Amino acid sequence: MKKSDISYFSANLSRVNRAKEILGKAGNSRRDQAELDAIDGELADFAAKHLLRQFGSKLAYTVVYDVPDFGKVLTRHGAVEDLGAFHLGAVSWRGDVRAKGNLFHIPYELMDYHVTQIDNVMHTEAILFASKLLDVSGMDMVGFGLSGSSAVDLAMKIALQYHTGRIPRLHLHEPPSGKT
Amino acid sequence: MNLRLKLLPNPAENPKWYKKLNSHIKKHGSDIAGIIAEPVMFSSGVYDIIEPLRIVVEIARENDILVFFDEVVTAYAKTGRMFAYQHLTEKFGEKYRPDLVTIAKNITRGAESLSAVMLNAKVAKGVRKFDEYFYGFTMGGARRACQWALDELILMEESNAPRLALELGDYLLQQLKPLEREGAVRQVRGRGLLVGIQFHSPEQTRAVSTELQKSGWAPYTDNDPNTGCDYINPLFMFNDTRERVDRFISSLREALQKSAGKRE
Repeated sequence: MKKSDISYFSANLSRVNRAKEILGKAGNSRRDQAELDAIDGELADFAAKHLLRQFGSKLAYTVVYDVPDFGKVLTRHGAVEDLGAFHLGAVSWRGDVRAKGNLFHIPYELMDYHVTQIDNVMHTEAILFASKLLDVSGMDMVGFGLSGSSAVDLAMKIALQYHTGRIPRLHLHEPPSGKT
Repeated sequence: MNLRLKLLPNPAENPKWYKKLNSHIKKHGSDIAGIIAEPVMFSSGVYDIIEPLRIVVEIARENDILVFFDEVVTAYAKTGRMFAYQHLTEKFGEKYRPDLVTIAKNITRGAESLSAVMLNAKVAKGVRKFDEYFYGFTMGGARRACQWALDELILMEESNAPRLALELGDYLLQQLKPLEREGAVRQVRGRGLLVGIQFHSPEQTRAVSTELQKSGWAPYTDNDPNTGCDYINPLFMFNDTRERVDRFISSLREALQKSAGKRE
């Protein structure tokens, strides 16, 4: 697939905006729910395929669409606090949510408190930035770090694993494995 | 076989070195995971090695070794392309796209901590197949950092930053080259806005740098022990103006005059 043939960025941005629009309605019809299901699937598919950071075929992603203000984290299943993901105030990240491997969009302010417990977080902004970056660069996959040295560290690990065969050497014309 | 060099040589002037490199890799390829290069060596004196890297990429492809470009400094329009490797892919084709590319710092213009490693289709395909791959950094890809990075990328695209950087960089080099011809500085070199002005002595570099700071400039001044090179980079951005470049040249000429005694 040529990157020039498809704009991941604009497609994903419009998906997120459409989801926000549906969630903003007073009530959602079955048709709305079906559309949200489809959007969730498409964004999760993108995340699974194109974001290297802690993805895996076993994860079932849930996309969180918006953070209108602190304490009202909106998902298609309702507000995050209602799902039990956070005890706002105490700011804790519950293991049961993490165990689902969900894709959550967490207010940055919360992260400072539980740095070690956000390993399975994937953000809507990360998806959008990754989409745009892949569009502009023509590259195929991206993983994030915090500094130049962490990116180099990750790149060297990938190179080493490719060299040793842990990451398989595949010809580009080989059919996909069916797993993402 | 001694392959140690201070700088990657010009393939036209020293083709033997590349032959040696190829033989070395053929002999020891099983011990080599990849080749890492910075397309414009910045902290080592601003040396543009993009063209010589073309031969290195060919050797790596021939021997099935990964090529990894560290573009922390060169990415985001600094060389006149959004990414420095695009000079190679545009001119010579997709074969010259590196397998791995790292970027950082200027992706949020330093506002937030964020870096990224990008993979080409060949490596990405292997990573996707390797579905137990699990590696990442706590807080890597954080929301606010990614929002900054997205805004920055959109701004650069809408501003046509690579074209602006190329035009301004060409103008900057054009204005600096007479200083080299006049012998006021030893060498002016670079690509796009990554420009290095090498002086005749460390004393002259320090004196000029001090004078420039007195005039309100904050040039990047460094010395690399490997090359013994003292240099100044004026640190212009793609959205700087020709008038600002002119002011810098004027300040630089003044600084050179004031530090004339420090030349040797």
